[in-house]
Amino acid sequence: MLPPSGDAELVRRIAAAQDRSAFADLFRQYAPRLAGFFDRQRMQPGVRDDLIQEVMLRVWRHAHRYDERRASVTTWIFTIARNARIDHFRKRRAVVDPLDPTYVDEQTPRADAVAQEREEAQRLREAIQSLPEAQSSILVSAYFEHKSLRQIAEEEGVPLGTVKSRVRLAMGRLREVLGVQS
Amino acid sequence: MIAHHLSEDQMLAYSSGTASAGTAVLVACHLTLCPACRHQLDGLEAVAAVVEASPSSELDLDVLLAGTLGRLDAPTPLPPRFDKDGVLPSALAEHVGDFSALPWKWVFPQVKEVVLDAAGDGMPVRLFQLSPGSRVPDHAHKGVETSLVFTGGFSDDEGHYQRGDVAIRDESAIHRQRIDPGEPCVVLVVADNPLIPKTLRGWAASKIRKF
Repeated sequence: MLPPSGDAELVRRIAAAQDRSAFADLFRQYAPRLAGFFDRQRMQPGVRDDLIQEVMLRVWRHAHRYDERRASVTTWIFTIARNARIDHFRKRRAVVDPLDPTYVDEQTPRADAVAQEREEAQRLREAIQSLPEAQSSILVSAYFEHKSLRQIAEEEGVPLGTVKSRVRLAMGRLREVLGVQS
Repeated sequence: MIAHHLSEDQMLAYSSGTASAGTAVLVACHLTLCPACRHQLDGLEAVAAVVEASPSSELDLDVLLAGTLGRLDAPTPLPPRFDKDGVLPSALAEHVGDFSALPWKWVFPQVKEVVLDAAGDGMPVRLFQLSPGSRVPDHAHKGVETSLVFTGGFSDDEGHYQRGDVAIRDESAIHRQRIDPGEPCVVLVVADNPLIPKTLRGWAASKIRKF
């Protein structure tokens, strides 16, 4: 049995040594949460399990690309999950690839190292809850119900511009919490 | 230095998978060229993960893990297609190939185009090549039009645009674009209104003004 490790350490071991124990530990941690994510999108159980496997396979293959300065492991894995879902429903997805010769590298690393995952997640959760319902509901509609802003505007009977302003305001507020400069 | 960036709603649409195929290609191209917008997107994705990440209890974890371990050695999929000429990000090169091999067609004096149908969903997405030192005729369009510059540059009432810059224009905008001298200006244009496809012939037919 491996001693308990931070997630970032597990990803590092996968990247450096193709460590299957580390992968299994990461899998046990994230598969239930990935299942929760896909369940909320009302997927068939078989499709859901295939997608969980696909996400974790991508984690295995791309572990060397994980950059601690840019995101927590949770954020990274859920971005992979979101993209796997898009790939499943579309023939092609528009990918941003750090190996692309046209990719412009980050000039400087993020000033702060990645915050303790739990602490940052808790601050974010509180900040999202403190948003006006008109703003937080847009995030929920986009991420869970996959509604475009145009659809959201139609359903709420407000101009598209209003919905866009609410997105801008919500993101401004949440960035303050994350300490990200605008 | 990139001076003109994506809007928050474009990034939200891209991240949540609700963007049109054409918008997704344009956003991915800008993100490839712009570390600052990637940084903004990171913040958005951290928010999304918090909203999304709560567990499900209906999962046969051991079986799923065993199945996944068995697949770790499977051959990896083919890498994405990169532009040999180093001009077009792969999100676009996937659809159109290398920059030097683009099948340009003249559609108007000073203007060539390549039409892409990024997902077969009928959303018009076009690459234009505008001759250096020229002026693009005055034109109007319905809905929102987003442009991303890859080579050369242009100026209009809202500023100067060069590689990586995003221009977002709604239907009230009147365009008077002056193309920089030197090299041709290649720009990706995505229309945000599926009902009214926009063509340069449409511009020519209805809105030409002489300079």
